[in-house]
Amino acid sequence: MADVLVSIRNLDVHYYTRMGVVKALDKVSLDIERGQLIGLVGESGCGKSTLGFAILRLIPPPGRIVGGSILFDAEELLDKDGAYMRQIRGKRISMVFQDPMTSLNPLQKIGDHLVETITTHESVSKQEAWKRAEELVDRLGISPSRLSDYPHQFSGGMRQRIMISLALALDSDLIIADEPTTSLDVIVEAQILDLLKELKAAYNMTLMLITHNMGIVAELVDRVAVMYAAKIVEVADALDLFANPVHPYTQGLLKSIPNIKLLDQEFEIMKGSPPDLIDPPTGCRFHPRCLHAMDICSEVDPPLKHVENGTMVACHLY
Amino acid sequence: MTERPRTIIPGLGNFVGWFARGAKWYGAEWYITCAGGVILFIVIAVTILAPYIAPYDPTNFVGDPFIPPNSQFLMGTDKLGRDVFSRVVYGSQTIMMVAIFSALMSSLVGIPIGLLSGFVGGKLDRVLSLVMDSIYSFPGLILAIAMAAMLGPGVVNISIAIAVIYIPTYFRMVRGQVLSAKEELYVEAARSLGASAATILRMYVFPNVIPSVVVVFSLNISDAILTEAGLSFIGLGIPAPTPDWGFDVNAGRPYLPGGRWWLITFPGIMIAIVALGFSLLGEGLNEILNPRLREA
Amino acid sequence: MSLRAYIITRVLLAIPMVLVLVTVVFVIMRVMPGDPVRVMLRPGAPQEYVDEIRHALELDKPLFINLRGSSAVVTQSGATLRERPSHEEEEVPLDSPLAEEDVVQLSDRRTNEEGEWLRLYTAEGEDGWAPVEWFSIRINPLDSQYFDFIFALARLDFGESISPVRGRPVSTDLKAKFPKTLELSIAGMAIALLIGVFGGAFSAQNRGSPGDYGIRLYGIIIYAIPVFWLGLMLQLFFGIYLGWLPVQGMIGTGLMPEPITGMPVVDSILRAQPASLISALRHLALPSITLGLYISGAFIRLTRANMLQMLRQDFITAARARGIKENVVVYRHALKNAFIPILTMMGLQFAILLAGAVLTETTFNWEGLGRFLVRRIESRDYPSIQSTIVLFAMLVTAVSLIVDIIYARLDPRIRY
Repeated sequence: MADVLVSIRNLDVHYYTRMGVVKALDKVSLDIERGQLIGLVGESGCGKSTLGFAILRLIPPPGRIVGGSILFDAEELLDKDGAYMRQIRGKRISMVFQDPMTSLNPLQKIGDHLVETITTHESVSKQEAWKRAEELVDRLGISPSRLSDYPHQFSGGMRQRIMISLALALDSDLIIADEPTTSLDVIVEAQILDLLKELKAAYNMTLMLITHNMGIVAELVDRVAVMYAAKIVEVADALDLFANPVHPYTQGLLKSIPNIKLLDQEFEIMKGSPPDLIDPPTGCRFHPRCLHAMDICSEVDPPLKHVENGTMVACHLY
Repeated sequence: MTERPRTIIPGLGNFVGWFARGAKWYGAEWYITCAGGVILFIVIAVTILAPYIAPYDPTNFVGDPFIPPNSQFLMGTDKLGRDVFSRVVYGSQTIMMVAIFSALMSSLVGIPIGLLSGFVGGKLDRVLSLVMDSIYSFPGLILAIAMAAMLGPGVVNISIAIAVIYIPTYFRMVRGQVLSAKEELYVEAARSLGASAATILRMYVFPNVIPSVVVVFSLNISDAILTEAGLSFIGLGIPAPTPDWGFDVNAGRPYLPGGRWWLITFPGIMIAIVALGFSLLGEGLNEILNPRLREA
Repeated sequence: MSLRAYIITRVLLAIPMVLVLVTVVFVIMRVMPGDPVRVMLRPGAPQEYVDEIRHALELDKPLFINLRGSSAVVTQSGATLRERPSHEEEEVPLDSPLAEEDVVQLSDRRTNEEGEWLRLYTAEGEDGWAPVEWFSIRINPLDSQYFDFIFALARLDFGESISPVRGRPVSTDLKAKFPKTLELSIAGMAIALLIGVFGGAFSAQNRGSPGDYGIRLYGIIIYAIPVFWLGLMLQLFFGIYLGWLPVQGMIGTGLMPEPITGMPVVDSILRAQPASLISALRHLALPSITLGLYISGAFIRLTRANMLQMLRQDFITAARARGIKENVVVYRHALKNAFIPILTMMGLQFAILLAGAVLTETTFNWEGLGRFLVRRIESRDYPSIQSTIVLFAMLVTAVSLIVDIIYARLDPRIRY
């Protein structure tokens, strides 16, 4: 029986804006096992980053978690108060942000970033914390002497390593990486991905990788969850997903990726565009763009259910 | 079918509807602007209707000196036995005259110069900008003191003294608009089609400038009121016996330790209220006409 | 560029700024309509007195460029001058006749049917008119009011008063009064920052709450309240009704310590006189609170706006995601980053602070530059009025310079 670290059930997140209520997450359910590297993919605006923030309960106003449950290590996070969440954040669940330039305090030295994180959660002296910081960055390929430097003195790749070191500082159980390589160029991206692979092997991390880049997903993760319009539409082991995508949206996604090896490739682009989350389509949200839409698809929202060997899908075809 | 309720005052329903729609769309700024508008309406009414509102002649003594506020003298009497309430009411005329007059002068001088400077550019623009920036960075009141000291008292002189302070504000704003209009592609297109400078100014610059001018004008008057009060307080303003709020505050100072608070409190609070009215109006209009990114 | 290079560049830039400002003051005080001499003297003063004052203040020189000639060498000796530029006029015998090679100072030049006449002052101080043919004129274009003014300022020569004490150097008074204004300004600015920055930060952190609206309302209202009235109301309430704090002066009688810096509070500390210190602080309280409240509005609004923006930044969310306490996030991380524009605003607000100081000093009888200016206006002492305003101009420029330098020092992104 797999050890489930995070169990999300029927999570609803709404943003209350002037234009109306944006239903950013709609009855989202997902399990993450310990030691698993799960990729959360989808287009911009599908809610994947929101899910990451929701686990940490960092949804900014005017957003709110309005329903559902998030079980972390068998504890219901939605019942906990602010003080408890603060203890969890950074220590048991950490986050790596998308843009390392804006995610680091420009007026704070790198070393101080780390020291502050360590001393907030553990009662160690500043010197002790500084030493630990030196070891941390050293393992990630940054010279410890640079701890006294400021963020703007580093390159993009280095800054992302710093962010990763911040996430690793306290041996977190879960690391959520929100598009960690999107703002980096391809070569640096490859380095960071290699780094993540190493770290996963060395530490047996549980990592939730949020991205819209299927290539990274293919390379790195064990399991994939596909999101569309604030809902999870398919969850499968990585190999299964790429070999045999089940949901029409996933099929469409994979078909639209060009293959550099094929010369005369005709790739298909899905017609239409993602729906408005204030007033989404009735029934299955993908039905207006789905090639296999049936009558029932516009009436009933398909639930997420098992189909075969660990794959789950929300589609009326099954 | 439901009957529409009859309103007591015809047209009140329309007005209430207009007000409510404004409040819903604009939020807090609407209340601010309307509050400012209401204050101003009252103040302007008082200014115009002063002879009908004030019970006594503000420059003659009508009773014993230093009577505290009572039913006969609503705000008491001052050291010469004059009715403070009447002085306050007539004082509105003085201060509004100076403030509006100086604001008009500032705008009528600052706007054309700004247009010219922005349009012509080059050395003229650089020199003018340097001068205007210097004046702008200088404490306004002190500049006004310098001018008032040299020009002497009187409504016109004081208005001129105050007007000089705000010319740079109009200059900068208008110049900025002209410069950004010059950059616009559609202006270049118009020019290449032979549009004259006047046409470009009229069609492309003015429409953008007008809302900002209205805002600045309102804030200008608010500031001018405070500056005039400050000048009078120091003794450089309108001379006695013309009722002037700043002057009265200063005149009442020696009697404060004796507990005669009404000589100072009423004129002073009037200054604050009128300045606040224009300020609220200006700030509110600014939000409405030049909305910043809405705080979603 | 390095910090040192930046400082040098910035200081050099300040010089034309001061020049322009000072020129503006000059234009207002001398060029604009309004005769300084008439300002000083009561109407109906005898003409000779007017002329004498005018000459003593060198206000009879040309304004900007002197092409008229400022001095002349006698080429044709004479023993008499005329009262007015005409041969018909009465001759004024000279006690010491003009000899050739004598140098005389010129103060006016007029052309009429009889030719060109010069008005001159001899070395002994006698004056009168004479035909131009008697002299060989020396032209010094820089011998004008404007250049005299500029060069005197460069020497930090602020002129001499006419009244109440004739001949008293203005700089003596300026030097004595400046520290008092400095003390009041620093205290006022400090209070304004405290109210403004923490009020604004609180407002931003609790956006939409009644506290937020209250603070924003305060910010709008406070600026509309005339600062002198605010001071008087505080005097009324705290000084007269409650009797807690003194309402006039800088320190109790006889308690002023021997000046080192000239600032009562600082000197009391330096001279270790606790009684003086307490008295000085008590007297400083109401004026500085008045001034501080007056300026705080702008800081509240700016801080709030900056903090709102700052709190949306990624690194703030990232810090929260690491479990950093909310207070630390807001009041250390966000505020420090938001502070730099506040610093710039401090420089801009300084001008308003000075204006407010003039009124506040008058209200509280605080013997600083502001009170000095007002007194000299009352006694119509033109030289000290002009010099004080010029000093204000220089102060404003200096503060702007300092703020820019501190900005460069604080923001490491600028340095490297």
